[in-house]
Amino acid sequence: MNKNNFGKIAVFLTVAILGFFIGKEIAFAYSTIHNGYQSTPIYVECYLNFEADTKTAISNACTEWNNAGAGNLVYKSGTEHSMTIYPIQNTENHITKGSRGTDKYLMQATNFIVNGYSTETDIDINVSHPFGTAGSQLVFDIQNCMTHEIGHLLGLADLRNTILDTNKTMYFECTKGETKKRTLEQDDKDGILSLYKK
Amino acid sequence: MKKIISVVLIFCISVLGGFFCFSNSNETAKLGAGIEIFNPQTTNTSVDGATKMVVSGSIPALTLRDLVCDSTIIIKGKVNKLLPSRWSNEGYKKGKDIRNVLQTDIIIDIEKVYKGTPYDSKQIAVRIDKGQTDDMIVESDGYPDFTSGEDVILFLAIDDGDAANANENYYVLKGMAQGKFSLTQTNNIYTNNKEEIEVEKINHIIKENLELEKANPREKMTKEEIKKNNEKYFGK
Repeated sequence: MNKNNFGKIAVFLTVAILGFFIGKEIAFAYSTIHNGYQSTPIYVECYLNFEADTKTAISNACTEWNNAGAGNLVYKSGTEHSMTIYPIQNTENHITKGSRGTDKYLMQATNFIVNGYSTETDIDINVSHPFGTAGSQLVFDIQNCMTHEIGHLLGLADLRNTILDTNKTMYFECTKGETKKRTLEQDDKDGILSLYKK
Repeated sequence: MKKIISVVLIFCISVLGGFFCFSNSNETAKLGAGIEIFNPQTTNTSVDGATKMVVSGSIPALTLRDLVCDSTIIIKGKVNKLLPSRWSNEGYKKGKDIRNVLQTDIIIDIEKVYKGTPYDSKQIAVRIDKGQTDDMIVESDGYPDFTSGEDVILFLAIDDGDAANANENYYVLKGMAQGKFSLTQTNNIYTNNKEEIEVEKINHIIKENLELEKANPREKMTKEEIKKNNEKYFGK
């Protein structure tokens, strides 16, 4: 093999490998934390003191996932709870609130997993941060954050690519006033379809 | 010209090849055709008989200015060791019908203090909410992992949450994973996977951001205002 051919092959391989990995990065767009629930729909119970706007925001977050194409997966239950402990394993999917600290999460989902499947998920709202429902620039939007947490409940993991993932519901960071997570991106839908559309 | 067209063509074909090999259609996901659709480490109920809780969530995005201005202390140091994980409750035991948070303290040897005065000038503890006991594993990707001997720059704050223990000296990471900057392959450059900091420039970065804050403070609510605001949505 002469030097000229060797150079051409090297360029070919470099470009091909680089392209392949760029393609892989673009395509690999969701990941999961468990295999989902074995039986759906799931019902999430709100803390009884939540105001009507908050309950609507939670209900809307559930609806967004139910419209993803994998059937009716999750609903806000008509039953409410008075539990202030988070997390607690009691077979019910509670949404709680508490002052967890300025340097803790906005909202958090704890999945209890048995044999790879979720059996229960508790979601907590950290009221050390300011929340609202109107997309104000001074507060975190409840529906925006809750849509992300319902994604965790159903089995999707956080996305962390600061270039490719920022518009997706499962991107792990939120900013004040942000509402884009209310609407699922195709990758969010693909993730949920992989878990529930058998 | 021909050569350029050939290279562009090869590149485009490769990108498409990579995309279709790894794109997540239902069929490929179901068949698992070379695609890992879940992290196998988190799908088992137990490891060595321990129950597993997987904790995930959303965190507030912090800028470098937020980190600089809102941290109580900023230090450079080395991870000395990780203490055994323990529960946040009295006696560090898991309680029944109470809030249980599994926590791990990381002991840091301080090499340099850039902002604030730590409770101890040589060694401090940093507390994260994940860990492992004999019968429980709590995984949380909101918190970073630490390794003994690791060089770190840490943005730290006082724990003001309901699981805080006022009788102990420790800090928490400002903005969870965002508060830990690890040394990169490039000497003296640290990253939290979002921002990069050069050690030589950190004093300047801190000074610049604190001056900016003084001249033009960020608009934010006080704790009392947050409490009042949130009562409108979550009740008292």
